[in-house]
Amino acid sequence: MKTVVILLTVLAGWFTAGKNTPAEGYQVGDVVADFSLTNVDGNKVSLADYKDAKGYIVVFTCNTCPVSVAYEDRINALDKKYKPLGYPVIAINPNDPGTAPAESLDHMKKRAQEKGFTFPYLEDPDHIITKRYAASRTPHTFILQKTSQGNVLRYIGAIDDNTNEDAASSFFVQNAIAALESGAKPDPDFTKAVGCTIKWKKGS
Amino acid sequence: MKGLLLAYIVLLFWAFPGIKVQDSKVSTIKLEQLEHRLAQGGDTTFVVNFWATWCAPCVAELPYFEQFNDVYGQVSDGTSPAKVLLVSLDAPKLLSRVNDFIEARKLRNEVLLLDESNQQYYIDQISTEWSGAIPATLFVNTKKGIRLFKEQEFDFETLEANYLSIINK
Repeated sequence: MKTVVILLTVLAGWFTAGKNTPAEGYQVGDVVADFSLTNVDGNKVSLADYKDAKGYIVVFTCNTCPVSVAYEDRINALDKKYKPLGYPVIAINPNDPGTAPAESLDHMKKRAQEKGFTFPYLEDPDHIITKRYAASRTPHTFILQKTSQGNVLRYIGAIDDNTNEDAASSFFVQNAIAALESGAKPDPDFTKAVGCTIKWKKGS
Repeated sequence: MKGLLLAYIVLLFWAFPGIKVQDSKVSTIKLEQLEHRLAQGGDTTFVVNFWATWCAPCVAELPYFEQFNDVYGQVSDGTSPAKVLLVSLDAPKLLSRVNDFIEARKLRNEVLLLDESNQQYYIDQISTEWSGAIPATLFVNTKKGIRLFKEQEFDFETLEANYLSIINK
């Protein structure tokens, strides 16, 4: 009997551990590596393409998650406001189009056109960059600051504190950039929010 | 006077609707009340699923929680009872939408609507391991001192495996 119990326990642990255990990704303060991902216009985009940037607002977002959709206008507004100040938005779709067909590059193109995205909207085949950042939901925002050491991660979390735009009262991303602009570090530098899970490639 | 009596009767019906309606209603719950209930659970293994009507993978896995409750929700000869709580994270003002949803799907599990708006507060209170993505499920057995949090999708087999590992500890 005891063996059965142990076996079940081990089996249960194995079953659950194998499924989407969040990997250790970049932490606030880490220097991040550049990437080269395909945009909806077919061109590759890297952080280094933005010679004059002081930093970046990297947003993992997608076509179908209702929380992401609720934030689309706000992400556009962030880009319009902060790109001229040196902090462009770079959106990355972390979802696998095999698992979630509505997340394919074609659907991304359509969505970007419909919503008039002013920022690149990149695909991330095999979740390489998603895993590096340990993005775990959509939308999930990472603010980078360009320094002499490289691009340093300064903020991880939500754009603001409410999916319903009219009810939002703490504007985390805007406050974080204001802090960076004044030579300070964002506070908070880590927030949580309800969002959609990443649609991982089967077997990944 | 007659008007007052009428108002009283109307109020009575409003305050005490038929049992059938009461049975199927979703109730709102504060996090503190939810935690209190879990803490009072003794050897019950609570399976608390966090979901929302707008979340497709959450909706897709709801039948497995129904199936799980059918199999393990009954007390039978010494086995620990399991209790599924489906906690909706829809906005508290959308109570009627959640009600319509569970009635349309004829869900038998108990459904609660979390009456909290501060995500910075409630996500970490439920589990520091939780990034906020849903679906997510919390297993609690107070008597055994177990609180296991999983930010993942479940099917019947994975629910069962987690439950069995808890009651056999």
